[in-house]
Amino acid sequence: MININFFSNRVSQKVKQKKQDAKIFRISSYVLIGITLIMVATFTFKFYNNLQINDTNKKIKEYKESILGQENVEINYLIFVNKIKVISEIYKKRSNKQEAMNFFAEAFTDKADIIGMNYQEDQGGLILQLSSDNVFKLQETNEILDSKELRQQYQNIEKSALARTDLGNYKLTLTLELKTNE
Amino acid sequence: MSENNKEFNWRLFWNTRKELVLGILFFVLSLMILLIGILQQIKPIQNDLKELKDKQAELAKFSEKAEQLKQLAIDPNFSQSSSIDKVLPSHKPLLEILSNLNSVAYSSEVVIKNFSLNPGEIATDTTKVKKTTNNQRYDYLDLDFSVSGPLWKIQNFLTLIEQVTPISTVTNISINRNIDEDKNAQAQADLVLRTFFFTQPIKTTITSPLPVIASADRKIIEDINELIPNTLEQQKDVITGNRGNLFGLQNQTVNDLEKELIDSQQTTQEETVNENSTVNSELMDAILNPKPNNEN
Repeated sequence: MININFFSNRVSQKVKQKKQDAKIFRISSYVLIGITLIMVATFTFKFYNNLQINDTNKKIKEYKESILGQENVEINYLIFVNKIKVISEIYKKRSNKQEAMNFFAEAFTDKADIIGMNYQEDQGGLILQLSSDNVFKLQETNEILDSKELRQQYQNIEKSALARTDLGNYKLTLTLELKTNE
Repeated sequence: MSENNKEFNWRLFWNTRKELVLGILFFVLSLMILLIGILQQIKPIQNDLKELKDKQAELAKFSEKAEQLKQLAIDPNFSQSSSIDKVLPSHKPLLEILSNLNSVAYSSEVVIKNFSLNPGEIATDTTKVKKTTNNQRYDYLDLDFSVSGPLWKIQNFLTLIEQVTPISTVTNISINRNIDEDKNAQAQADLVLRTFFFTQPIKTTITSPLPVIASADRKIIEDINELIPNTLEQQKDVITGNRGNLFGLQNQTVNDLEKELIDSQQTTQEETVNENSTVNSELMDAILNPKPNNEN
């Protein structure tokens, strides 16, 4: 005998469906709550960022006012710094012409007289004219010029001309390269 | 009846499958929130974060600059700005050069001759007024002159003249000394002295950072402190030196002078008229009453 009970099958099917629906409802509730929380967090984060931007803008405005209030100090400082840089540039172009002149005047004391000197900054070299009373003093002058001490100080010295005057003096022309402060 | 059976019974469906309907509704709602409330906010949030980052970087710059400006008040280097102004003035230092030449020539005991200078526009306050388009940072005044004296004194002069403020450099030197006739002959030096002044236009923006003074710059400040300062005070008034009125006007106004001139002209005219009338009357007397000739 076949037991046909459609109601029982239907009830169990309905119970099963009910459970599935409850499960879907539960999951969807969790998803909705989760998504809502994320949305709240998103808006909170956005709001926090806006607050931070406003706060930063306010601080920037305060600093700007402070900086503008000290504009004169800033300009004076910029002039000061630029002047130092210009002075540094001028110093670098300077050569040791006075030092060279004093050095040679001292080196040739009692041996030769400096009778002429020419210097032009754009050409860089110093031309010295020395006069020795006699050939012996000229020789001493020459020895000094070739000495190791002098060559250490001034490496590029060129003896460009030598002449004897009617009075028996010897005139020697030297060209030396000066060092700049660069 | 059969048509009614075919119609979907929503009420029955709601009563029996309420949870499924709500579940689907929640899913739809979640999807809408996800799309509208979250995904659409990502881009604005990214922009906000970028803006915030930029603003914070800007704030850091301003903060640093404001702090640097505050520190300038106690910066020992910046406190020497007045001495730097004397070394490299922002105006043509004509009076300072003349004062220096005088004092250095006096102290080194040499005589200055053949002085020539082309100062151009003397009163130009270069830093503040000149709006140059080129980037020339400085300009100079060239002064041609001759110095005579013993060679060692000229050497002393050359050394000293580069040690005074404003900063000057001797660019051309030509020394001659004729010892053929006189062993102790004095030397004559033809010199070109170049004195520098600052011409760079200064520009700044509120965001540009302040330049830093490097160690090389500090060395320059130390060197500058070793220079001999110019003691010439800034000239703002015409100094008469108690010599009275230089133009010979003796404190008279223009109106006084005009009145005096008119009075003197009138007096001269009256005197001329009197003289003429006297001469005329004498002539008339002579014609009308001729004197007897004693000789005849």
